[in-house]
Amino acid sequence: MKLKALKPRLHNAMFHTHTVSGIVISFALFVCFYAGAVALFMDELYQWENPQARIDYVDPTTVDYDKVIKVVSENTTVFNKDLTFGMTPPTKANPLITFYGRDKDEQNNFSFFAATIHPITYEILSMGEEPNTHMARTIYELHYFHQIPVVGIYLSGFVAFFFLFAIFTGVLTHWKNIVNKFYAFTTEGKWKQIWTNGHISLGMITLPFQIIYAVTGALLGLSILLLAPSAFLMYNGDTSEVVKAVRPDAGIKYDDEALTLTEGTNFNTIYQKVSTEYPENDVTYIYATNYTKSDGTIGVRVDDYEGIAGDGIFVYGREDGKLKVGIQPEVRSYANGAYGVLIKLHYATYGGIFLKIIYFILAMITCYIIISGVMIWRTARDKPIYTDKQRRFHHRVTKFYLAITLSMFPALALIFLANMLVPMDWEGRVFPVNAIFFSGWLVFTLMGLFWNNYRQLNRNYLLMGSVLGLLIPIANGFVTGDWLWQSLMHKSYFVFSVDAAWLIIGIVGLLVCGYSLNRKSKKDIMQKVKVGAESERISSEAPAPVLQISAKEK
Amino acid sequence: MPANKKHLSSPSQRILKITAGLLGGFFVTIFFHNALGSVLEQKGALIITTAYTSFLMWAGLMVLAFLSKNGWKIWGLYLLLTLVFAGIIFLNK
Repeated sequence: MKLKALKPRLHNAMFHTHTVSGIVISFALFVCFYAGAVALFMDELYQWENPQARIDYVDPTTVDYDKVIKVVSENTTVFNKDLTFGMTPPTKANPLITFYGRDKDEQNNFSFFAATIHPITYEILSMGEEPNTHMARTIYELHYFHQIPVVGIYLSGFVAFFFLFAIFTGVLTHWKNIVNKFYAFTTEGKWKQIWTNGHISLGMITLPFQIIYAVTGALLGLSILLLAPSAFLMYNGDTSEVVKAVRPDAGIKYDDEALTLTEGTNFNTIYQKVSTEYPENDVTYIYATNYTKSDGTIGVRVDDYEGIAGDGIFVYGREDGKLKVGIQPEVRSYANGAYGVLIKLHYATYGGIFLKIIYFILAMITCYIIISGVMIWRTARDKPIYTDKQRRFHHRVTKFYLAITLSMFPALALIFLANMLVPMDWEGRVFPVNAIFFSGWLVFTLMGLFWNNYRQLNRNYLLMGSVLGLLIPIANGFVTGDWLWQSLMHKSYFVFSVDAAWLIIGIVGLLVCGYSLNRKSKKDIMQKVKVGAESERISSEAPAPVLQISAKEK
Repeated sequence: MPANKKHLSSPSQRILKITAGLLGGFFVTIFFHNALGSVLEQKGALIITTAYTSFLMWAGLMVLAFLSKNGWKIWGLYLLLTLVFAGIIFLNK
């Protein structure tokens, strides 16, 4: 069945804009999806990442949260209790308490610190400007380009927005074939057909998923573009009204000059109140603002991680312990609930671990669609009507693109290894771990520029990633003593599943390298002969790493 | 096969369409939503709805700009719509 095609002028206009917008964002979008897919499991990775967190689960209702505040303030001088501070109670994934606090000097410069605290002994396990492990967080921050100062997040927002544009134009471009190509996923035949069929059929399957990410991603990156004009046009420039519409708890005003509080309610009381009222929902964060002042508040965020509206916020007055602002889980108005849904759609926290796995698979398919789009672009231009110079340019772009994107796989394995091998008790160990990751990624990319054949490039990265990946469970075993079988026996499933996942990835990767990518198909050889004859002419100038066939292969 | 060049517009038209889609489309989106908000009592619900609809509408208007034949016309249309919505906001102030 074929749908009615667009008129030729319209089709070509859409085709061209789809190509241009797609090529421009492809690098960045791939990084967003690839890093973001891993970052979905940020919480689940924590015990593996930080061996100090490999303790038995502690019931969060038994923890003395006020004692945590006391312990922290005794151990640091940069903790100002009137600025917002808070902590995450122990969870199954992360049994430690993580405390976040701030201080302000006379010039109004803020300083931050994070501390991890043992939930039974109340011992401070780490404290500093950064947590002592940052691996999953680095990957998470990479997915919205946080490492690029100031503009990173906006850049990622624009990438998401142009992704939405590319989705619209892509659907219109392929409209005619959208139904029959849906059944036409092929791995045989001409490369152009393989790439196009995969691009269209997989694109169709993941279309709802991609629209969700394009819209939520654009919003999370570019919310300022919507909120700032609204503040001016509807509220005469009062931004707090707009913020209040999105997050009611953020609309509470605090007075720096408020009276000092002698007695008030405390964290434990509020925690007990909320957790007995909502036993199905975990408390995910408990925080306070203006803690020592009469207008201070204690807030609690809850989530059941199962329902699309399972999250809630309750803010209590510190002085009287009465509820000031509350968004209940499940039963709440559209205006109060719609933002939470958006966040849950983006972070996949509404259907347990299996939903996250589905999200991960869909994100990986999206990565394939992005790559196949670039491959279509390049294959369609590999024709004699283009000059040699143009074709070399197309090849160079494609190779550079493939080198950046495919080398993310070994680079990812590298950060897992680096996180294990840089000693845990090093002061400021986050920097070397991140440096190994980013410089490793750069070196892998540069290496790729010297592999002139896409097949070779793909195989080499797969091989490197698989070997490094297989080393990850071994590194974990040597450094922490938690070998695969031991973590399984001790039922530390979070640690076990990370090691097991890398083991499986590594083995599958090696099998694919050995059985599939090393085999030279007849078609491949035929193509090589053809390209070889032609490239003799193209490469008559001095051989450079950018040429398709190097002088040696010829 | 890449897009057929004979169907693509001239560079000056292309610049007009790109700017119309990016800037004009953004203005229409913002002023449309705020015009709606200016007549509504419950503005909070509208602001949260714009989180979902704005980028969809903006991207749609960008597609529309590229589908149009004449970049000047689409700029004119978007400016006109922006002015109309701005008028509604002004009247409801």
